[in-house]
Amino acid sequence: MSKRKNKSGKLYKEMRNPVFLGVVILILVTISAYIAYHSILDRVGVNREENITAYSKHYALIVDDTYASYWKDVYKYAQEEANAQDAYVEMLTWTPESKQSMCDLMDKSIACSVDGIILVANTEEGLEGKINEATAAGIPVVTLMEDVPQSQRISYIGINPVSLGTAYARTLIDMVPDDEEDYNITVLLTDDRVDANQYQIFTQINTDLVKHDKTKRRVSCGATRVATEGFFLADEDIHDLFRNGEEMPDYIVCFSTSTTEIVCQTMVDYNLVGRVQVVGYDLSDMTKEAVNNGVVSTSLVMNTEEMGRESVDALLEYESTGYTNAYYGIDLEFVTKEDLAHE
Amino acid sequence: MSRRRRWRDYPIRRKLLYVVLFTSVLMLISTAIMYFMINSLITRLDTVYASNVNMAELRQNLDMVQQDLYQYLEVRDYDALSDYYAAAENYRGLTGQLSNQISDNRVFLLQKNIRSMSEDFLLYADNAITAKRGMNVEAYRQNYEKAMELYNFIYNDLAELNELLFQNNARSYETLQQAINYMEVASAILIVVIMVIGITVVVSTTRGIVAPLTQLSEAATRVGAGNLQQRIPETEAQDEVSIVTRAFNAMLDSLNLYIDKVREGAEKEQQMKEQELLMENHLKEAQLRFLQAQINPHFLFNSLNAGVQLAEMEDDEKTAVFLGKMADFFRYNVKKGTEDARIEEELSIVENYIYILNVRFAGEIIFTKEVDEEALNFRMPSMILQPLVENAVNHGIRDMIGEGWIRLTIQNDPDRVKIVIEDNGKGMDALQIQKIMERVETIHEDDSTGIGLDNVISRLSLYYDDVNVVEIVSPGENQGTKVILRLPKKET
Repeated sequence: MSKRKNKSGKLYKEMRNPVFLGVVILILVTISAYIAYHSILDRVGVNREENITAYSKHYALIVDDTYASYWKDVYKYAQEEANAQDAYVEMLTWTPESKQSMCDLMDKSIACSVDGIILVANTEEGLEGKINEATAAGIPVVTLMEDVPQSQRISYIGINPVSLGTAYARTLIDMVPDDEEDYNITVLLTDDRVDANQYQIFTQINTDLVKHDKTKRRVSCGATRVATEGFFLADEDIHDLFRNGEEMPDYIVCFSTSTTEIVCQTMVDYNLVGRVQVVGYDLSDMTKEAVNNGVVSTSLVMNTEEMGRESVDALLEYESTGYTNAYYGIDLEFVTKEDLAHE
Repeated sequence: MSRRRRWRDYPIRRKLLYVVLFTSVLMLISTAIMYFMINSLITRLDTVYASNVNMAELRQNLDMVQQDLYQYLEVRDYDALSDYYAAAENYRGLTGQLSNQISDNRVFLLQKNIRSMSEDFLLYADNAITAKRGMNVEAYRQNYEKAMELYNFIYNDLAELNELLFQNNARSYETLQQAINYMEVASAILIVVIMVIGITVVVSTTRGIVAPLTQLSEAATRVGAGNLQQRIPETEAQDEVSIVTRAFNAMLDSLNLYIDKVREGAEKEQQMKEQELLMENHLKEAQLRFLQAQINPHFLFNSLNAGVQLAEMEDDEKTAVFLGKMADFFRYNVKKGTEDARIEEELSIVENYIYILNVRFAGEIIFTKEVDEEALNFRMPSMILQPLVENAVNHGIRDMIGEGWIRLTIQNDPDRVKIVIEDNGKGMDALQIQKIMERVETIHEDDSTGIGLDNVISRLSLYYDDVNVVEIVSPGENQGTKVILRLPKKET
């Protein structure tokens, strides 16, 4: 004990020695400067290899961003799933303003020799051919939310249009009052091709409404195509719909984020809130506010996490086994104001 | 086993050398570190925009490949073909340096994509040229279209990559500039700290050297002022100053020892002198006793008194007085041999002595006195004044030409009694006076009471414990002598 005391006493004496203190300060300043120097160098050149994580597989997620805004969330979950399996997902986004088309993005992905493509197809011509081209080049392609069933895609991740149509119909049946009045439902389509998902959903809605006792012979359901090829055409089409008071629908069903947002704004502009019931798509900030304010009665929300993870899992499974499921179903739900209040 | 050398054991020169070395090494190390860091920062600064330069070169090469390809396909120009091959080779080399890594970093991913697309681009370009040379129009058009499609993709990605690199490099440049500023501040702090350390070390070391020297010089000054008892605190250090300090203390010890020895010697000498005096006194006493033993003093006194009575009976007053004075003189001589006496008594004996002498020498001795009666009651050793007067008679005025006189003065000074026995006789020279004062020479005449000057001076010195009681003054030969006694006052 006394030896330790002597040593600490000696150390205390040394600490009081100005030279000893000075040397200690000098060493501390030098070390601090060196640490600061290295920490600064770490911030310099973020491209230095020690700052990045390398992967062995490269996937491309090609999305059409025009009719849904949740692709960033989908990408986030897809990336998480891929990183866990030593893969990296690069997102390539097409918008109407893009110089490169969806086919161009497919070509680019093939030229970049990616290990897999997750394609959110749109109505662009030639996509089927590009999917086949990629498959021929040994790059597996899965489609997400919009299928290209005639192509050589290995899997489809999304919703069964029949099931979705039934779900929409159920929601509409619940929304229609139990009275003797006639009601008109308009479904806004951005893709009116017969084999496209949207059309199939619309067909199923119609079928279920016609069959149901509550709505048969009372509720009619029609579809209107909303143009997406040029700038601002969708807005004009929707405004036209509301300008004609006599043909104004009682219910509107939207199949994309942008049409939902345009309808909400138009409802407010034409003071039709409460008069026309809207079934929206996705839960963007504007749509969420509209649901809270009662402009939108309910909105269809996809499980973006499932979308992201399942798309990557499909590719991975195919790589490891050579086989994968042709179809991965995605959960969905209709969110109301009450649901948002419980969040 | 030799003792491990400590800092304080080093010679001063080596200490100073180490201090200078230490400070210099500190400065060198810190300066070197700062120089290395700043230099590497500046080097990095120089290379910051190098990646953008590389991208510009890559794009330039891509353009050249495309232009040469187009030129050949359009015109079939063989110069364009060789230019194409050269450009393509160059381009291939440049793209080969791009990263092929799949990563979460956009820059590296772009490089990977550009590299991959460039390989396809060059493949399609080569196919187009081959088809052209093979006159396969459709094939070379298709390949060219494909190549151009890829060219556009690569061009766009290069633009994006260049932009990203520029942003990164701008950030890096800013960071490096900031770093250089920090390093400048750190360097300044380091230099200040080193200066402070250096000054502290130098001041501390020189203080350690100068302080003992100052202590030593102050001690030497005090020793010079007479303080030999002090000591300078010693240390176990083996440097020059500590060695001198120990030597200084040893010197003081030796001095004190020497002084003690000298004092001891002086004390011994004093003791021996006292003993000698005591011996002399004893001898005198013995002599006296011997004399007394030969002459029964009572018989002498009684005989002299009988003589006095006889003279009185014969009406011989003078004889009676003479004999009476003789009796008094001898009585006093015997009685006061070892006692002290009042000055009055001493004066009385002097008068008796002079009377006796004047009877013998028919009044030749002229004796005068001036006496302050207040001084008469003080005590002094006995048998002092009469021997001095006797000395004045025998060595002063006897056999002198002319009239000799002796004057006795007794003066009551404030703290002493001053007695002066003065004569106008032969006088003494300085050497004689010195010998007498040193009690070297003692002359005893036959016609003497037997107590010499040296005895008188010794007894006075012993009685009063003061060697300066007696003073003998003589202007010179035949100029008389003055014996001055300055006696401290002793009451009855």
